[in-house]
Amino acid sequence: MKYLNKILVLLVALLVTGSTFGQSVRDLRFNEIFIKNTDNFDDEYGRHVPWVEIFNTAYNTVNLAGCYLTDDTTGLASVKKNGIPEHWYRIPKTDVNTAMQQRSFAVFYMDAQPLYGTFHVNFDPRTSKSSYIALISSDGKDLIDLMVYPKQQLMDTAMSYGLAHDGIVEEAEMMDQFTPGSTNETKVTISKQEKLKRDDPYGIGLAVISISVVFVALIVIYLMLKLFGYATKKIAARNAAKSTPAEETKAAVAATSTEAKDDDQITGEEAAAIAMALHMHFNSMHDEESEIITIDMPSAHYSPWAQKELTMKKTPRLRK
Amino acid sequence: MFEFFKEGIIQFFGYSGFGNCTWGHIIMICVGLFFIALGVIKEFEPMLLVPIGFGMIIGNIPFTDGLQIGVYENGAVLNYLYFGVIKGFYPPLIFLGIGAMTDFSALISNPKLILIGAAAQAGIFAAYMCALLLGFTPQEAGAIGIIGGADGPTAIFLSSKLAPSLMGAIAVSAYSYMALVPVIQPPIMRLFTNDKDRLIRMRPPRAVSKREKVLFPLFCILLTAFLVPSGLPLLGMLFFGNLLKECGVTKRLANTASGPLIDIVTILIGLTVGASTQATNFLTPKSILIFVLGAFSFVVATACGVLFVKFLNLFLKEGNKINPLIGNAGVSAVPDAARVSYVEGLKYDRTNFLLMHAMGPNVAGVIGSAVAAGILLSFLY
Repeated sequence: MKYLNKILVLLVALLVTGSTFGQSVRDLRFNEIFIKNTDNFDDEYGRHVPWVEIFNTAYNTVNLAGCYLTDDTTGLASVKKNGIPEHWYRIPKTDVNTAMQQRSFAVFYMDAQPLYGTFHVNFDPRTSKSSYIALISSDGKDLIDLMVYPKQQLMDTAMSYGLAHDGIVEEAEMMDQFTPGSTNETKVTISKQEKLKRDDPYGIGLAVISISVVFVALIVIYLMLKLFGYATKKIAARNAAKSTPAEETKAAVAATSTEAKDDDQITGEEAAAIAMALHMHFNSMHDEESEIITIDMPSAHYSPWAQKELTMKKTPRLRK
Repeated sequence: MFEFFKEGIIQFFGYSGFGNCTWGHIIMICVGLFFIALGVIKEFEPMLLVPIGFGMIIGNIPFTDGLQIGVYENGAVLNYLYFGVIKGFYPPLIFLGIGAMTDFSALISNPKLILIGAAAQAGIFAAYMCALLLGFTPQEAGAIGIIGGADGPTAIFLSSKLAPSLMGAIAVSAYSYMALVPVIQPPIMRLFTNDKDRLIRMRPPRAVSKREKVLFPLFCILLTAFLVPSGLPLLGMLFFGNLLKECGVTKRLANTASGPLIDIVTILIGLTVGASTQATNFLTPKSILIFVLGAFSFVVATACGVLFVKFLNLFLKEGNKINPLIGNAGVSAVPDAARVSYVEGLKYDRTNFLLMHAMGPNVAGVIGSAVAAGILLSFLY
């Protein structure tokens, strides 16, 4: 019973965790941040304000709704006792635009004007004491991502800070190109296919590698099957050694030793003969009728439908 | 009044198939009829050629654009059915059925036969190199090369990812050559073998226990999918289907996968692939090149399989040798390639039954081509 309780608790814990990270919000990453916005990207009111870009690294839709954005994570540890801190910006659950498609971007304006819309947070990095921004799960307990940025540098220069390759947090750097709502990978790079065509114009390298991998895969299966065969023989031998036939049947076993030995190991010829016999048997069976048409009455007249007794009404039961 | 009738008839004629017909449509309809004839009269892969042939007729009935009836028109019924081809979800379902139908006993009892399945995949990469030389992009070359695997579903799966524009030609080419296995392979088999080779008798396979049969798909999916994760849709479904068959407790699921499900998907895939060969998209010089490259890859695959067996025999003791006539079965046209080995074997020795032996490399070819597709996908996608 104790074990059952433990399992139940574990299942509940798993479910709770699952609901917290529904649709894998843990796949979200801060991708780019821009503060000294004087003449570039503007919001829906035409204002130039700092913005931050979030990237959905997952290959499925992720909904941001309910998560928190903040520049102060001090309430994170005590969220259980004191509830959600007021200075955290809760992303509204009623806006369908918070659902991020796979590998897509969402831009939030950091203008301390949450009443301006879903994508306007309640803090401004220009007035903030901290130099980081955090994304927190909908239950307020888990830190999904945190980006520490060079605040002074971003306030002084019109440069953004972000990930050179979308979603790769290890590659954060100052960037002279700002790309709100789109990929940071704007540098002209050679695609995988172009590189392959350049390095391997005749396909010899790919052919050699591929055929080697096919061989490796099938050789591994070959070795596994060999091991199977070996283990099967061993087990069969061990089972045979364990079973000691009764005295009275020993003579009979000795007499039919050949058959007994092969009882569970039929040969290929035997298998082929059985298969052929079955094939012939089933193919000779068919559901064709005799094709004889006659006007003679069939000999068997009996049918329960024709029985008078069954069609007659029973004696009615009188109600009292 | 007369003018009205005249205009009406002319307008109707303009909407009819006769008014929109071109030589391309007629040629493709003739090809469709030829496919049906091959399937019905010669019984070459009728389950594939009849739906494809009929699909070709459907796809090449000339019509006015915008009526939402063509396979390439959004909202058309045929377009919805074609969705499974474009997105590549029909092939894994077919692999599920193949897995539920396939008995891997021949392979389990004689594991070295699996290597023939690997050797026969050389055709894929030979065709890949030739396609590159002929000016195809690496993705297109990869999709064309897979024809050499002689596996229609794999060819559709890979081309839907790498070269969707060539999918019709690649699929029709792959299925055509699969159907023509009894015509293409025997001359190559005879070319690379001598009388002594053809008379080799192979040791009868040992009986395979249920435990081995159940463990086989589990180990195989773990080994192959870890090595080539991109082949997961095909390999996963293949081995899942096989597990359903072998575990013995999911008989209904196995029956559905190997019966109604694969039949339904075969009908849909055959018909829509056939319908996708609209003359305007299909009759191009590229399609002809694809057919030539497909034939070449098939020939190379068969030759490599046969020659690899001869090579293996150099290291095998007398009594353990393999008959090179089963080398052709390394391509994954199941069970036609194995049947060709059997028929050819009987021609030289009426008591030498190679069918069960040939099924080993044949099912290995299915695994091999799925692995090869996964590798190409990981390099080129």
